[in-house]
Amino acid sequence: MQQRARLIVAGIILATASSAAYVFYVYNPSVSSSFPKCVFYKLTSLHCPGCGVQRAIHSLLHGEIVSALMFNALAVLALPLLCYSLVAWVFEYRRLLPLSVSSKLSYSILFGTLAFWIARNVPLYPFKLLGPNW
Amino acid sequence: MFCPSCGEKNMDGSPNCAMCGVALPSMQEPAFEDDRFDDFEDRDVRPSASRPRIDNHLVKAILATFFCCLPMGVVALVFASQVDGRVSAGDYSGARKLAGQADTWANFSIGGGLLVMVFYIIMIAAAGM
Repeated sequence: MQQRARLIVAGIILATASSAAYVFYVYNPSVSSSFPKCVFYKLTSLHCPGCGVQRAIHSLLHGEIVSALMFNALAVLALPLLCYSLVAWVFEYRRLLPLSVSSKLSYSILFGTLAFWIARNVPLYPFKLLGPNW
Repeated sequence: MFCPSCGEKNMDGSPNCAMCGVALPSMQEPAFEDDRFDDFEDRDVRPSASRPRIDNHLVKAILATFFCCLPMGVVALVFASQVDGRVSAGDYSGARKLAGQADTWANFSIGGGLLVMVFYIIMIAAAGM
């Protein structure tokens, strides 16, 4: 893709993200029932790695970083990485693209996610904090 | 010649791409089938020949896992995380295959997530009427 096309795609992503951010700022997913619920949770009563993201985004937009981390720590930590990847992709910072350089990093992301998925479903004290309902 | 980075057509012999500014390979260098080159400085594990750059779709897989709430994103992560290892082992066709699978699973997950969202919006609209 050419630079110009990448800029346009990035513009579309930013526009979508900011309109979503507006909705998540105004409405609270913990209170409002109109937000989509996790299909995996409905079927299995287990939390998926993404459970709590909507509440975390609401908290983040209100500046409550600690409660955002409590809702879904891994997704909040992944956000800067995703923003960075978008910038790196748009401007072709090849030297700085960490996600396609090191297979160690991609494996740690995979196993980190799997460990997070298991740990947040363990109903014991330190692990319970990783789940979205504490 | 065509720019290996953005695909813009450039005059033969020009040192940099007119569109994206990337340094163009000179004519003497061997061409690679992927015609995309990596240019990383840390050379400790790299042979002298350039490897093709294969997108591992890891970012898409992360997006699918955390923001679509469908466990299919994790499958995409499993495939995506193996791509770079295959590239460093020199197995480019295997790497491409894995990258393709990562892409497919991430797309399924994102598409499924969007479908659920559209379904919810329709339900809410129907309940509001």
